[in-house]
Amino acid sequence: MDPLNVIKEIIEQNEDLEIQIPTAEIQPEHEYRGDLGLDSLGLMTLAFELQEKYPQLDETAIADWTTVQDSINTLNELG
Amino acid sequence: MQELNELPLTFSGAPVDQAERKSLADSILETIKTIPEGAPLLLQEKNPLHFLFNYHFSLKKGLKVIALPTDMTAYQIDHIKEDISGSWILQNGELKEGIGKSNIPNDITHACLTSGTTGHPKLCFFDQSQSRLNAQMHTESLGLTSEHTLIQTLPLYHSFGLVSYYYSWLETGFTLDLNPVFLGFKSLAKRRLKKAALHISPSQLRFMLKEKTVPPLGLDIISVGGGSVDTGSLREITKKLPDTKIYVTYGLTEAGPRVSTGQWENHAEGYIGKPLSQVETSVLNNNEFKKTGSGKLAIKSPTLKKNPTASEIENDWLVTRDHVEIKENGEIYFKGRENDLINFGGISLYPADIETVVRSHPNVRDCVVLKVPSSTYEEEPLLVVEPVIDTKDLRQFMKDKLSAGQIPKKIESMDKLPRTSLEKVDRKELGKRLELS
Repeated sequence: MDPLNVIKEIIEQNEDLEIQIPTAEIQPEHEYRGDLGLDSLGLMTLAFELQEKYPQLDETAIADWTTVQDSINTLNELG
Repeated sequence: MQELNELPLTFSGAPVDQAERKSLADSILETIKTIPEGAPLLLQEKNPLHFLFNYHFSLKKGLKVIALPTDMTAYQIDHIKEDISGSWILQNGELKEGIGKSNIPNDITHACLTSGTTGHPKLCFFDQSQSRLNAQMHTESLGLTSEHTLIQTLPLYHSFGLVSYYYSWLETGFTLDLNPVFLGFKSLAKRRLKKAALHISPSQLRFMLKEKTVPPLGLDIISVGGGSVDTGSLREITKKLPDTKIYVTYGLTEAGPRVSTGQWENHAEGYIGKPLSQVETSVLNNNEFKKTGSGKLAIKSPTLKKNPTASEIENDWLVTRDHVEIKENGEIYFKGRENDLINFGGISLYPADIETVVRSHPNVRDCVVLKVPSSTYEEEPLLVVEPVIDTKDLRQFMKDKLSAGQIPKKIESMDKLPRTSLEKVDRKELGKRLELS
C-alpha cells in the first residue's frame, strides 16, 4: 500500500473530509491545516479511516502531523 | 486558590510529576527572565502543557499575557502588535523582544482575543480576579468539584478555551487532563474515566455522534458551548449517555467569557440556560431594555472586559450581536446571530475580514463571502470572486494573510457578480445563481 494513495483515496471518498484543493493535487509537502484546510476533527476522521487499513495506528499520532509527509512517515513505520 | 504544583495534572492521561513540573517552570522562568515586569507578552504555543506553564509563570511574573491561537499568522500577529506597543512574543519556546513601552493600563493583567481566526481580532482586557470569578461561577453552575477530571480536548486554536480551563482548575482544584489532540469516544473509551467532565464544541459533539464506538463509561458531565447546538444532537447524546449530565454553556469573549449555562434536560431548541450567579441579562428591543421577551441579548456582569467601545455599551449594558428570547422563568433561548457573522464550528468569522484580504489580490475586482450551511461546522464561508480567476493562486495569496480556519473551502468565481441598481452585490440573486437554498 502506498500511504499517499491511501490518504488520497480516503479523502476522496469521505464527504466529511472536504479539502481546499483537488484530491489529485495533494503532495507530501502539503500542510494538513494550512494547505488542505483540515482541522483537528478532520484529522481525527482521517486517522479513524486509516485505522481500517492500519489497525496499529494510534490516533493520537495526529498531534505530530503537520504535513502529509509526517503521516506518511508514521504509516511507513507501521509497515 | 491553590498553587500550580499542588494541583492534580495529567497529560494524555499520565500524571505530570513534580520533577517535570519543576523542569517546565525553570525553563519558562529562564526564557522570560529578560522581559521587564508589566510588559505585554503574546503567547503562541502548540503544546497545551507548555502553554499552561508558560501562561501561569508569565502571569506570575506580572507580564500581561495574551494567548494567541496556534494558527494565527505572522500577518495577523503584526496587526495585534500595532495595537499593543512593547509586546514581546513567545512562540513555541522562542522569544522575540518587544520594542517600545507598553500602552496597556496598569490594572490589566491579561487580554483575550474576540475570535480565534478573525483577520483583525479585537483585544478584550481583564484582570485575573474577573477571570477567576467567571470560572468560579461556571464551575459552580455545572457542579464541577475537586473530585472531577476535566479533560481538555479542545484544539489550541481555541486558545481562550484553555485559558478558561486554567482559571477553573485554579479555583476548583479538579484534575486537569491536557491532550495534544481532540479526543472522541473512541479515544476516551481507552481511558478508565471516573467522574470525567468534558467541555466540547457543537462540531465535536456532532463528530462524536457519528462515531461507531460504544461511548465510554465514567463521563459525568458534558458541557457543549462555543456555538448553538441543535436539539437533535443533544437528544441523541442524552440517549447514548443516559447517566451523563449534559449542559449547554453560552458565552462571548467580551463577557469574560461565560454568561449562562443550564442542564439540557429536553429543553426546546436554542436553550442556553440561565445567567450565571452574578450575571444579569436583558433584551434590547425597539431601544428598550426588558427583562423578558425577544431582542438582542444585553449583559451586566462583573467579568465584562475593561475596554468596551462606546458602541458596545448602552445604558450600562453590554449589547451583544446575538438575538435571544428570555422567558419569565429566566431561561434564555438563542435565536440567531446578527447579520452575516459566520459560526464556523464555534469560531466567529466575519465576512468583511476575508473580503478585505481577497480584494487586495491584484486580479480580483470584487468579491463577496456568503454564509452556507455545513453538516459538520453548522455554517461555513463561501467565497465568490469577480472575475473568473485561478483559485489555486488565490488560496496561496490568502494563506499568507488569513488563518487556516478563515480560508474558505468553497470558492466560486464568475465574470460578473450580480448587482443592485445601487451597484451593491445582489446577494439574493447571487444565491439563486449558485442554487443556494
